[in-house]
Amino acid sequence: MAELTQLLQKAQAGDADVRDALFAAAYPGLQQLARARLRDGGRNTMLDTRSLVHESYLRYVQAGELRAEDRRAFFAFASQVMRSVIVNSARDRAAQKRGSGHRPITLSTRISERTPDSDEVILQVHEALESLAQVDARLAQVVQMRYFGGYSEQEIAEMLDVTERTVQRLWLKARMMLLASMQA
Amino acid sequence: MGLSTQQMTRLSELLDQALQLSPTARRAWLAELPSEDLPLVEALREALQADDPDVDAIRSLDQLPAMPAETPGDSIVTEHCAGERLGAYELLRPLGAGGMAEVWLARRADGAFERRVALKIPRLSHVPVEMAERFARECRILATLEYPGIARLYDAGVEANRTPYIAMEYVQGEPLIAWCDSRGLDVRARVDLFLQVLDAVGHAHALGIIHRDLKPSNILVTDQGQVRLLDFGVASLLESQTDPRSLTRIYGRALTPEYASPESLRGEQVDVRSDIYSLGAVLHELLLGRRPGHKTVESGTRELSGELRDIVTKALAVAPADRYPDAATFAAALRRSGSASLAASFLRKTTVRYLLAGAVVAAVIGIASYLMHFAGDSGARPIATAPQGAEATIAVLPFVDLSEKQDRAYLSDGLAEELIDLLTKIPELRVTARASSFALRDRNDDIAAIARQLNVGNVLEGSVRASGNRLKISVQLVRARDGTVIWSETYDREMKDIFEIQENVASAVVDALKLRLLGEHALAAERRTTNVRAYEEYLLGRQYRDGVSVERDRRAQAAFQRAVALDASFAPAHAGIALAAADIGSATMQTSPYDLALAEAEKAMALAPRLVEAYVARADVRMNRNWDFVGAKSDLDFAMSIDPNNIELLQSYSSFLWMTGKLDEALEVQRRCVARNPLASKTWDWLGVMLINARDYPAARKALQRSEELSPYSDYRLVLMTLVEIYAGNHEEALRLARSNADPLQRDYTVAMAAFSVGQIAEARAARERLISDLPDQAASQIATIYAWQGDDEQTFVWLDRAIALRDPGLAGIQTRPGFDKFKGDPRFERVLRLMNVAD
Repeated sequence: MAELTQLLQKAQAGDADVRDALFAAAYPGLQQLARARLRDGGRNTMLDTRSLVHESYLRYVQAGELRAEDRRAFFAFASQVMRSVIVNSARDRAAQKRGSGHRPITLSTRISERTPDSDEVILQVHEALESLAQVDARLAQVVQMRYFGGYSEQEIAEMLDVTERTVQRLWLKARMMLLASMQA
Repeated sequence: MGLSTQQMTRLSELLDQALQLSPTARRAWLAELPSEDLPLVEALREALQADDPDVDAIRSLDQLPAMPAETPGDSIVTEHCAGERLGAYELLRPLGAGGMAEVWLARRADGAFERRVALKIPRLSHVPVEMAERFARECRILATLEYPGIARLYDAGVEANRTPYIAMEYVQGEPLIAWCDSRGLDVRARVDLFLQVLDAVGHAHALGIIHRDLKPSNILVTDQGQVRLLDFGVASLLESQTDPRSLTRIYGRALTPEYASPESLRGEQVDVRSDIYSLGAVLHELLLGRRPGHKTVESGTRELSGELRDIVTKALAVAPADRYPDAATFAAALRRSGSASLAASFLRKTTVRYLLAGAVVAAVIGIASYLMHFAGDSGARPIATAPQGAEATIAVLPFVDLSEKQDRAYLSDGLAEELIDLLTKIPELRVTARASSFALRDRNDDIAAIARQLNVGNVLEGSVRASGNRLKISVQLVRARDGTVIWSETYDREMKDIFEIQENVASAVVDALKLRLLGEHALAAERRTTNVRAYEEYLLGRQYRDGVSVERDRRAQAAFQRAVALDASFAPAHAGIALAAADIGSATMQTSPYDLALAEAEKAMALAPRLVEAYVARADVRMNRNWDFVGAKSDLDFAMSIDPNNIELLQSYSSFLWMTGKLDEALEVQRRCVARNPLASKTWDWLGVMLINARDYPAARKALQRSEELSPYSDYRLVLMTLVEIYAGNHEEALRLARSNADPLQRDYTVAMAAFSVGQIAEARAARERLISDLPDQAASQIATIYAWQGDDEQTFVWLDRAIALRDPGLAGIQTRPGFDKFKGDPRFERVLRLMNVAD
């Protein structure tokens, strides 16, 4: 009965073990949804991660594992899971490319114009975010929600209980930090 | 790569400083940084350059890049397994699986013929019993869809009443866009393929079949370059299976919105133009390499030639009427533009480069879900009117019954009703009355549409799941303007806590809408019972109190009586008996229901001295049976002092004013009833009656027409409509209406008047005489009205006396009734009014 709800409450109270359990509980569902969506999309697909989180939320609510009013808490938490799902899938694909002997041969001479591989971008952001988190946890939180969760600035403002303007400010600074870190 | 933690910390500090400065000041500031910051200067300069929303670098982080699709067949997670049989089919291997369905390669296992099919197995949480029958019916229609560009649908069924499946032609091909990309096709070749798509879609539309889910993955291209559309009609096959009152309706649809038309996202009825929109989105992606973004379509298609841009924009118009009406027109427009100039009119550099580069999409261009597109658009397209000024407005929708057998509607409806009762006690809040909110029950409208119809700013909705003594209630308060959930809560409690939950919800609404309460205990309901069974009977009784028929009032009375038998001290149930019995008395003109009503109303008052309904019931008895308007007024005034917004009270008060000849005031109160209860046909009927007496026939006609739109035929309303035409002088029309009345009493009543007016004296007399011989007691006041109209004053007063002796409720409002004007000042008429206690 409302299993996730209980976990969410304990996790919010700061119980680290429960956070792990919660993560383990939510990960497979989001992963499956993300993969289904990627398969559905035909070729390269922009993952609408927000709608994935929403869909997963609906499923939990319908299954009675989550109370509807835990939406905000679930969303706040789910961006972390979503990040992990995305980063892991990018890692898997990168590993497959290496494993299959895929070499970065370019027939074109205009290599500089080649769009960077999307998995590379994702992994770079992820790493830059790791170091950002050590400097400013709140900035990192915003990036996680905005970039990996795909939430709107308004939604993030509600979750962090700050104004939308503050989120915009944080998001601008966070992106600058990430860019600087990724380009250094 | 990357910066150290120490460097990041410093960078953060420096950025904080820099962001305070103007761009010009930043340059000077950068130049003056101390030498130990030198390693960071370059990174800082780059970062600061990005302080411009149009710079690609910073925009690249606004969105996840596109990710490669996972290869079908590669670790597909399925619920079914190879070798399994569904109907006549044996599963061979999975072709794909997504959130909504699995698709298997399958073959006929009964050897009927050697054919491989793609077997689609939708993932449905609930398979209704009638699904198999429906599938069979729909399949006969879909089987007529035989066309080169459309994959055939062979068969559909439900295995063991549990697993639905749909057998379709197995097409080996590549999704449209991937096919074009991998071959590096130019615009012309792309448009040619797209014309094939339009041709196939147009054929299906001509047969009345809408796809509803057109997207690139449903459009395959074979090795020979032949387009094949998948899943035609499948969406509609499944659509009507989903319960519109399911949770998805409450919490929004879990749709992939990129290709769906605005109207289908809103859950409205769709037609072929919804498919046109989806095709527009496909064309957008086909030509530009990305789906329509959250910016306006116009600006998102800048790279296209003028003609193509106009075509895409038109197909993607928000309003269906602004799109191409059909596939053929769409195709014609493309052909016109797709002459030799087409290749030249092609995209500008970015897209060309992307096309040459092949598979990788430049991922940085913002593509947001279409929902966001609408949000950005809302300035131009009103999503909901914002009706209220200072006054807060709310509608409470019937709660959704999520109980297993869905047999607790009286509980889910009852809860919403009780909430309406509680909320009307808040002086600053205008609450839409039950009949209006509930009229929208089965419509699949979204919140904005509902709010628009009811003219409210907020909507409260929820669901109830009851099992045994447990009760799970979810509620949310939604702001109509933008669909924001202002407040939501779920209660998982025992049945006995239901009152507490109701009060809790009501006070949460007060808080959320920032309203004030009259007194501290204003929301504490005087409607407690500790007996859960009694409460359920009570809610059931309220279900029947909808004024539709006497029979339903009898059932209501019986349910309230059972409630009282279980808990004799349950005041609202006593008041319920009283209200139902008073209406039965008035409809049947019998005394015993009135006696019961009076006794029960007084029992209720003894138990709950401030229970509004009890006073309303007693006032009804007092004015309808006893013509005791003084007593009725004191009850109504007292009830007004408790809860001036109670809709039962307002309606009763309005008819009190009308009966006592205060027509103007009655109209004013009745208009308030209509404003609060705009979707209840009965309130419009009442308004119609009063407008007839006010001689405002055009307005009366309008009110009655409104009533007619809201509920089907009623004998009584037809009488009113006939009277309007009689008094307005449209006698032919009046006679036509009169003759069409299904009720013998009402037919003869109005025919006798209308036929007389057009000179059909024989018909008029026959009708009158039939009434006199068949229904003298039931129709006394009508017969008096006929005689007044036909000019027989003597008989008019004979029958008026008889009606008075019978306490005929049809006498109500007689002092202002057209046709009785000539008796103004007539001592005989004065006497009648005195006997009715309505003389001045």
